[in-house]
This record gives sequence, structure tokens and C-alpha cells, in this order.
Amino acid sequence: MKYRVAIAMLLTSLSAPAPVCADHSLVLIANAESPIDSLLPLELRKVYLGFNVVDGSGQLIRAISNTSNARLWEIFLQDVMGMSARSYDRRLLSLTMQSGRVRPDSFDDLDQILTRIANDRHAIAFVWEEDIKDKSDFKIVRVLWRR
Amino acid sequence: MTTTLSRLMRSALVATIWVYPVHAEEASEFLLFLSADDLERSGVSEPTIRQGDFTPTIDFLYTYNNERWRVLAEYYLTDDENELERFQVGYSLSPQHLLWIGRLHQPLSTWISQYHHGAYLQPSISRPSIENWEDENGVVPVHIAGLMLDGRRSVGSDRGLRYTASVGIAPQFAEGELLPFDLLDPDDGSGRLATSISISYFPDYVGESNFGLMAAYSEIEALPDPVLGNATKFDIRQQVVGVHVNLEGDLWGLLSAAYYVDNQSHGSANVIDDWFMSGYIQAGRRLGADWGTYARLERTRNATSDFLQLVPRYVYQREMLGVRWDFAMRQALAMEVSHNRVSMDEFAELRLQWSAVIP
Repeated sequence: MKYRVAIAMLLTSLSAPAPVCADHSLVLIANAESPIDSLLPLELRKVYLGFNVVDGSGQLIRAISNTSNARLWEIFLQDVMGMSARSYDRRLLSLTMQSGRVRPDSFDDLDQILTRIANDRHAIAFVWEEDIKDKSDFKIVRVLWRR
Repeated sequence: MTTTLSRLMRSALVATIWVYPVHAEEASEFLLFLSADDLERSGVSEPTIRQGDFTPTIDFLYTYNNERWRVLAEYYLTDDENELERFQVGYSLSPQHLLWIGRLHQPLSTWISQYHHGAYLQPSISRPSIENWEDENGVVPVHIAGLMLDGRRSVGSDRGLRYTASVGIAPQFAEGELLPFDLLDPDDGSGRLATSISISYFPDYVGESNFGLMAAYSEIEALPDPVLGNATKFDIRQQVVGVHVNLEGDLWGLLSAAYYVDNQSHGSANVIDDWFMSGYIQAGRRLGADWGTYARLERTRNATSDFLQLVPRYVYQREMLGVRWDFAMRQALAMEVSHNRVSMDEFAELRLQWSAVIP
């Protein structure tokens, strides 16, 4: 009996249609108590190039880059910054050379990113929406990309 | 003026050390720009012009930011030169306005304002003659010690305007070249006034494409020199106006500038009272993700001007072709061939360069 159930479950799963791509969103997040409520696309590009942009409390917004996932990083570069990885890197180096701007912090560990955001009301980061689902420490400032 | 500014520089140094641990929201960065350049010349008949050269270079760049303050230090080291190129402390007057004090690159030069000493960032190995450093047959002051205001403002929804103005100590002229004020040895030299302004319009606030105007006034003190034949000091008052264009597309890039330079000597038996114009246009085309080619044309009008004769190795005409291969992240190889004319000679050049940035 046990084997029949197992075989039936296996056959059911194999005959089921391939899963349709679920909603997948790249979102810009901030600390739930952050004064950053919205950010225009140009302001977002400014922050991620190291230009000074202030939030509602007059403090500089700090950008955190998420390199924990290759697909996420590629979407961010293409759809938000509008440039290749090499162009973005050169542009950041160039701006550092020109006016001493320190480049945005970059982490390849999601937990580190979420910890930074949880501890800094003036920081922003981009993550997959499901990564912050049911976490009350964060708020979504903007949906950057949706499939 | 020199003594007062020296004191200000020292105060800035102390201030930097003092502000460093105070603010919690701070960040710093250290970058190394490395390069190795090989230069071969053919057709050289003038013995004072080198036939070839190999130059390894390390450019140390340190930056520190906090909510209000910014520090930038750049130290340049080669096999025959080591110099504190820039040391500047900035105070943010507003999110878009920064007031710098220290040893700076004055904003007159569009090329230098963009690439400074970063070989890897430059779109070509060589730079146009009119954008040369003082100790590389430069004819316009680049390094000054003083103040600079750097500001940006939005124009409309997504365009921008950048304006930069500086005032400080101009280089002196001695032994056939301009000698900038040395921040590490402020008592060794002096200098007179240097002022400069640049205004650039950016069709995209955060983009690279821009065009604009620049102007400068410098009083260059020429020290007694047996070659020049002056037994006493005299001043060269130099006025410069210029225009620049920088267009960056997905495939094509174009960088061009033109300068009108007026020079007048004061207090000298050998009168200099003339002008020259110098300009260049450099175009580049990307060939796929890693390769690119580029070409540059440089021309000078009134190249026989008395002032340019003070720097006889100044290249007043050049045609150049180059190719670049970005073979790895933050590493590139480039090769250039060019034909060059100086007042006493003309020759061909082949340049090879490896450049990189660490980390």
C-alpha cells in the first residue's frame, strides 16, 4: 500500500504541468523606520553612483549593493543603472578618482545586507521580494523589476 | 600669500586627523592604479629627446568620507618620480557643494578633471599635449595649492550643471618647466596667483556626456635661468579660455577640447606678448565587450609663439591611432602609434601599456 501511494505521488508529480514562472520581483528596501519613503529612478542612480542624496530627515542616503545572486545583480545593472558591469565599475572608479567619493558598500551575503539595513535607517539595498517576506524590520521603497 | 596658504594646508592636515574618529557614519577606500608603459621613438634627431623609455607606475589613491567631510590623497610613484599629486580636504557646504582646500588639480583641464593620474581610466595611453602635466612639457598650470568649490545642480528633471572654481598658488617656471607648489616642502618654493573656472552641462545628471566652458588666469613666476637669459625673476601672466565636449555612447565616444592661451611677460628684458591655440579631438569605438579602437588629432595654431619656445619639447601636432583590450576585470592592454612634431624635431612613437586597478 505504502509503495502504491508513493508511486501514485511520483506519477502525479511527473505528469503535472511544468510550474509557471511565479511572480518574481526585485525591490528596493529600507529600514521599516527609515525616513526614506520614495526614491525616483534618477535619485536611485545618483545614490548608487555615490552622489549625495538626502532623505526626509536631511541625512545622506547610503547605498548597499547586493551581489549575492548573479541574476539579481545583472537585473539591477541593466534595468536600474542601464549599464554593463564593467561600465558601472569604471564609472564608480572614475567618480572616486575625480572627487573622492567612496563607492557603495557591496556584500555577497544576504544576511549581512539585511543586518545593515536593520541597523541603519538611512541605508537602502535591493533584494528579491521573497527574501524579506514576513519580515517586519523592512519596508519596500520601490519595486525595481517584476517578472 | 604662500606662507598663509602653507599654514592653511597644515591646519587642514591637522583637521583631517582630528575629524577622522569623530563621526560614526564614515567610510574610506584605498585604491592602487598600476601601469607599465613602454615607449619607443623613431626618427628622433634631437639629442635631448629620449629614444625610448620604460616606466612602471603606482598611483595610490586614498579617500575618506563622512557626513560632512571628505579627504582625498593621491601619491604618484614611478622609477624616476615620486610626488604627492593631490592632498585635499573637503567640507560639504550642502549635499551638492563641496569646498576643498589643499593641493588640487585646477578645473581648467577637462581631461585631467576626468582622469587625473589613473592610467586605467584614460581612454588612451598618451594624453593631448595641452593636457600634459607640468613636468611632462605641460604649458598650462595644473597643480595648485589653494581652494576649490565644486558644485552641481539639477536642470529640469534629469539634466545637470557642474561648476567648479579654484584659487591658489600657481606653479613657477624654472629649468625649462613649470614647477608646482610642493605641499610636502612648502618652504622650498613660492608662487603667485592661479585662478580657474569650469562650467559643464550634463544632458544626463549622472551620465558622462557633457560640454562646457573653462577659463583661467595665472601669474607664473619665472626664476632666473641661464637658458632663458634672465638674471632676475619675472612674471608671465597667462590667460586661458577653452571649450570642451565629451560624448559617451554605447559604441562611440568623443572627447574634444580647444584652448586659447594668451601670455604676457612683466618685468623682463625678453618680452613675451603672444598667444597660441591648441585643440584636439579624440574618437573611440568599442568593438565588442573587451576591445576598442581610438584615434586622436592634435593641432596648435601659432606654435612658434615665444611662450611655447620656452618648452621646446611641447608636441604641437600629433596624429595618433590606438587599440585597447580589456582582457580582465580592471586590467587592460593598449597599443598606440603616433606621429609627433615639436619645434626642433619630428618623430614617430610606439607606446605599449598594461594598466590595472587593485583591488
